[in-house]
Amino acid sequence: MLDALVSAGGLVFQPVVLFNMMLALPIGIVIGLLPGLSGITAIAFLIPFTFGMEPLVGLAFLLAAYAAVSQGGSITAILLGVPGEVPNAATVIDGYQLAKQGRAGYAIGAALMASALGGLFGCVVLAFLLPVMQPVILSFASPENFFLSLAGVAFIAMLGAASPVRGLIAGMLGIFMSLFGYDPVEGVPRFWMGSDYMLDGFRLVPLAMGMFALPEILQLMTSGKSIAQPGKLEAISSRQVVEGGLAVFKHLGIFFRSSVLGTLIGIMPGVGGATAPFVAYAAARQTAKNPETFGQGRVEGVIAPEASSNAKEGGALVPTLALGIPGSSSMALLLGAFLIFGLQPGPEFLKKHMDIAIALAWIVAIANVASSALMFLLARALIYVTRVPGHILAPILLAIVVIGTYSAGNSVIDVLFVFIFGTLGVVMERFQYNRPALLLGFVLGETIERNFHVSMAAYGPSFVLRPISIGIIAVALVFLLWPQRRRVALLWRRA
Amino acid sequence: MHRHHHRRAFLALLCAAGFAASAPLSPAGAQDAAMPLKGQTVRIFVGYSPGGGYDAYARMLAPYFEKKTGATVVVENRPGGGGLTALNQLVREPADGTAMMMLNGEAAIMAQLTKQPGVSFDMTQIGNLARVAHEQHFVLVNPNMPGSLKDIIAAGKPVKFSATGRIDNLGDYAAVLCETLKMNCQIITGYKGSKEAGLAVMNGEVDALAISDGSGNDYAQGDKTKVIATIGNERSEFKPDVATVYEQFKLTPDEKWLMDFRLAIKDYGRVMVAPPDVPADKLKYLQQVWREILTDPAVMQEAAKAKRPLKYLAPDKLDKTTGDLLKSLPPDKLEKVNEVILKKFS
Repeated sequence: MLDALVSAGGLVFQPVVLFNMMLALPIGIVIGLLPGLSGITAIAFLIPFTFGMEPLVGLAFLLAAYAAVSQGGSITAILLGVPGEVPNAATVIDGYQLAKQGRAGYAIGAALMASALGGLFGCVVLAFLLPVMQPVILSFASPENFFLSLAGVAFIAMLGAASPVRGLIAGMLGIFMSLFGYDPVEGVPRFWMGSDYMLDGFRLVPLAMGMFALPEILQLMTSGKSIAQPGKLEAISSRQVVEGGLAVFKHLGIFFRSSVLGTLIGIMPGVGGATAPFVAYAAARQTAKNPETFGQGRVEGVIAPEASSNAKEGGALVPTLALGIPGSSSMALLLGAFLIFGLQPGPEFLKKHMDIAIALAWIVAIANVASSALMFLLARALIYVTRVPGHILAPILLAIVVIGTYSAGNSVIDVLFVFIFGTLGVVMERFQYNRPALLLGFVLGETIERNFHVSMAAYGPSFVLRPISIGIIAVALVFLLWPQRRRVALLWRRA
Repeated sequence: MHRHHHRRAFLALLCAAGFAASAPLSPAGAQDAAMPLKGQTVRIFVGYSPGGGYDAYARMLAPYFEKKTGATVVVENRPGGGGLTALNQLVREPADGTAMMMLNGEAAIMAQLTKQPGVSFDMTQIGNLARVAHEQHFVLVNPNMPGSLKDIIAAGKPVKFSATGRIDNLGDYAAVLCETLKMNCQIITGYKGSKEAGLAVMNGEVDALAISDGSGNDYAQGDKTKVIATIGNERSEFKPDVATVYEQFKLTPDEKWLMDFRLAIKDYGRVMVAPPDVPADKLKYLQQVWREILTDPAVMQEAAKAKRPLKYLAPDKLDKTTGDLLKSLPPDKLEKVNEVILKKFS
């Protein structure tokens, strides 16, 4: 094992590999800072540039860009309240509050440190687990995916900042909105109203942009004030960022728990990485001393999702490499890149190319740390965005959102929907409905539906009795009822 | 090392050719009679997101098209509707040769045959340019299943197949196989993609899967699944030792009919198409360009290396296939196709 690690290290620490990674990082960061463009876009866009590279060099290039993108997405989540990708929506909850309080540097520092270390954690676990991973992956089937996705939505709905009932309503609304368009099981379109566009239902990018970006832009426009409220302003300094980074070490428990959760969720194929940060956020809130202050700018609310979000990428590499089954959609694209390089991931790959597999884990780890370092340097400059007066910032942001949405799907209708969802977002914000819950419900609605149907067809109703399913249900219940444990205990004694 | 350098040089050359072609070589407006698309922008639609097989084919072939025609090619991903929303859009594009599509021809024909909602194209009217590729199908089973189709049928237990949908090249192949061999099957639809369907065979959630030979070959590595039959008229180059269903079973023409019908759709395969009513001379020009590209040994070799083999078929044969399948099918047969594929085995 150890010599595999060392020989893999030898592969990675070649000047040409490192040089290509450094080349990819800034590209990834730029794509990450543009809302609407995701890590998937980054990989798709960069794959042609890797033609002719040696396999490891090309993969290093792609993975580095990918790692940097997710960092960029969390920066916009904190500074502007606009999640770069779905997983970043969990960071918005507390990160943006911190920015409003003039502590953007602190939040960014915490986010960068958490994601760098989380990524590192995921990769270490990946490197050690790779040889023994297959049976674990194969024990997760549709029923487990179903319960896990459902638990994901329930967690964030119940545990978000606002009231649980409003959270559940938002989560269900999200699931409802995911029902538009082709039914994933029979292929029959639902609620499509005879429009080609609606055959595929609502789209994710306009939904995320409308829900999160438009209400903030409107706020900036109408108030004309900057994001960070004047009066509470600390001077912008690198010290703030460093302090944020150190905050991670003050909350090591939360950091490790979140990283483990992220890695585990990443390993399971089929659930999709979007769940990890939400589950981690919920877990952090649940076990905290004053859970009610979450959502008002707690740094743990930034650390938890960021750590798990990057830890999961190490995890997602596992099924991609071990079975040739991607653990996340970006991994699916990466799988295509493997083939271009003449590598065929799967059980044989692990036997023949264990060194490359572990080298990839190295690369993800290094890319995480390097992109965080790069962001650290940029952070000071970026924080100035929160001090720009609203009447200047708002139109710029609006243009970026419109362009970002258009370029994600090449569709003008998408742009129209940004404004429709924006209206919904404003209403939900006004009445304190949980917007991240709606987004996660929308993302996981299809997964929930597919896996429910397949589970029923393959196992019948007894699918709920599979051992791992029961385990997931039990853990979820403990989690959800933990704040009410005294009341539950009281009821138990009475009964 | 050496080979890599060669390849790099070759690709660099290709890129250079691409850039050269994208720069306007002639003054605007001037048109070369021999190269009617020179200086124009040609769009190739792909009905799926970047990264999939159709996207890979389109992007692999685009530079060659640029080189031959002097046009600039933009590959446009327009995912949705099982890959067919883009086809609905293509038929509404101007028929002047500046819009084409790298189409999942099998899916398009199946959708039209089974009258899927949202279909606003007519495959008998489409401008066939060339077949780019097609693939055989394998029957994959969980390692715990009996080792041959005959043994599985003899065991008499219901066989569960995984699929993403009824007409997704997984579900319909499974249905056709089960109907032809009179097997007791349940086809479970709803898997997100062929990879998830493959995983379900590996973890034993289902028993079997009918899938294209390339993917099937991947999933069968490391004994996670086993390949027990080829659905096709000939064996697959991926596993030449796996016999076809026709070799394993003696079937009467009547019994074979449905599978033959499905295999005829398969032969249509992955095609490059243009909107209906492209003027004859332009259509001919495009067909000729694609024939030259797809039958060029250098291109074929490069494609095979990327595991995207080219299997050209001429447009007149494609026209005949769509005509045979969609125009001259008797109503009772059409009804049977619909019944077996959409309803039976659920």
